[in-house]
Amino acid sequence: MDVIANLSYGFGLVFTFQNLGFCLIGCLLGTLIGVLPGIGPIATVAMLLPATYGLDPLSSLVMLAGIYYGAQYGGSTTAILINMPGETSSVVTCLDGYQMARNGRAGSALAIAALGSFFAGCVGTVFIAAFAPMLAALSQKFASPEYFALMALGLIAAVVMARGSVLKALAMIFAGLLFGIVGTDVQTGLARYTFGVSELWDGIGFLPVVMGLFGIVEVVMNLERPQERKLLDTKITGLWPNMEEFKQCWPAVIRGTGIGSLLGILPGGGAVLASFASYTTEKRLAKDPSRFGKGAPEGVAGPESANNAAAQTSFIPLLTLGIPGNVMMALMMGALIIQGMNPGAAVLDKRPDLFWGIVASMWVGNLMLLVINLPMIGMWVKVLRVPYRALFPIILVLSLIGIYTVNNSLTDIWLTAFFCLLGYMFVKFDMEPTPFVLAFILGPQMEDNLRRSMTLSRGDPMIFVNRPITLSLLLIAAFVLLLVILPAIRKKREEAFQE
Amino acid sequence: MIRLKKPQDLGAAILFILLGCVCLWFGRDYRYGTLARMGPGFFPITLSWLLIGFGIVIGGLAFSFSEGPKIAQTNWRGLLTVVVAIILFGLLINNAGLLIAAFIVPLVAAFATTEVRRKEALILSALVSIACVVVFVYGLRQPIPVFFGDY
Repeated sequence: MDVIANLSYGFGLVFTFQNLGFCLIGCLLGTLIGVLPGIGPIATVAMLLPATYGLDPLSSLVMLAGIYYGAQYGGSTTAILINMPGETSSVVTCLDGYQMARNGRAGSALAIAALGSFFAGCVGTVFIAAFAPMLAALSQKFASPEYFALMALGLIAAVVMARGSVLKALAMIFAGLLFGIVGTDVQTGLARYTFGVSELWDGIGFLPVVMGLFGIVEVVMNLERPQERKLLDTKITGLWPNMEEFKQCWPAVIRGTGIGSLLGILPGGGAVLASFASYTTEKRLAKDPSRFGKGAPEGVAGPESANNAAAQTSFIPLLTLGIPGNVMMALMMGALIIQGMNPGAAVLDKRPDLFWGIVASMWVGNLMLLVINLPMIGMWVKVLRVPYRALFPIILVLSLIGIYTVNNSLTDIWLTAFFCLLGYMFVKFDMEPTPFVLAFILGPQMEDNLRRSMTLSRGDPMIFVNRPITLSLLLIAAFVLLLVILPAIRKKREEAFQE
Repeated sequence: MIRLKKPQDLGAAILFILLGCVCLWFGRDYRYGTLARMGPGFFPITLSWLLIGFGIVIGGLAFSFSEGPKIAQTNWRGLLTVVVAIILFGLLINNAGLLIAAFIVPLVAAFATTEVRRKEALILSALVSIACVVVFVYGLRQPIPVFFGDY
């Protein structure tokens, strides 16, 4: 079997002292920061990005992936113990996890979350190993029109997944694409929208955009709504779920894993959506839905498995097509580019070691998290006692050092301040930043592919209709867009987001 | 009577239209080209017009249909202190070096909240500054000036 051969090749690469060490560091740092409320995985990865420059590509990606999963584990810990999601994908875990903790089942809830995540992580790894090569092989046939259509589909999907007004989300895409244009035009060499700043010739760096819009705005918003943190003072006893809980959970874990694996692949999807979808499913399927919200273990098991599975499979579009499905993957793409690699089908082709190494490291990372975190929960709880007023100045300065060290460029710092203000307005005017960031990242490639396609067809837009793959991609995009615009379905979508 | 019902959408619309206009103005010299031979202006100018068009529609709809949420109040202290801290970092890092930048920035930022405790902020900033120099310059060997241009 190819899958097994490839995976064992990957494991061989990861099981070196150095890579295991970086995986461990990544998992620990990720959990630490995931536990701290008010700082999500995006800010965490961005902050720790400079720590990876000196490493070889595999070690650095292994560490970043570790941070990513670690932050998710840490996020669910805070969701359960203090009813505060460390990050958005554990929002639903609060609903039943915290109630379980109040019922004296904190240890059990934490164990269910960890075991469910681990199971989902294992399945996710195999899923990637099985499907990524197929997708990569398919994408070998892609030319400019296909890539353009694929990116259009990805952006439309991001619109569909965005909360709130579809019109605003679409406009955010146009705005993001415009910001992506800044820099030297590849085909004519003209510097566009650079305002005489030579550092902008290569375009606006992705780190100032992501950190400004997400990391730093998050700090500002946390300052705006002061949060009380009530720590459960009950001792965490009984780290293992009892038989009854175990029986209730395992089907939820399996369903959650399935939902998460599928939703993770979709552009614009990812961990957050998967956890919501899984929770809704569990509630629908339950014999007694009224238990939910009062400490139903399925309400922890399903979403926690789903978000972890999705976190893994969301690597698939990035590693095979070079298209990041969410902001986190956009950040990973940035990390790959910094390491001098161009994400896409070429990764699997030219650097199979890197590809399989990353995939194998995902499994290793999940195992480490399981082993490290359960016994260390007591320590993580102590971290929670650090007050936010002491935390956010450190977060801010570390983020700035991270941004600065990418290019040693002051321009990036000024841009961060600009995007922090812009991001603040986005929040105030209820404008979803995710479509903006994805469009910003994909913009240059999208323009390039559109122009190539048009040159190819001598200006005939029918080129997008005459090619079967392109046509189907665009039809899917049109179809999903239509779905959200139709009022009946829009209502349902709003309901889904409210839950 | 026409009445503003979704202030958030109006704000968003103004932002979109403004951005569209800025891009049109600064992109006025970029050659548009034809479909077959797109110039450097094709993408930005088309997008700008789309953005302006969407902005007008969103802005128009803000006056009709259902009521939307109000724009939440701004905590100027938090926002401005954070932005000032970012700008201070930019001003200090190359000239004064990491040791000073990593001391001043968290110290200033600490005042973004009314809960600030002066002594605590001072001690914390000093610790952060030393830790940053040790980790980033000596540990990770990042080429950042430590103290007044001294590497």
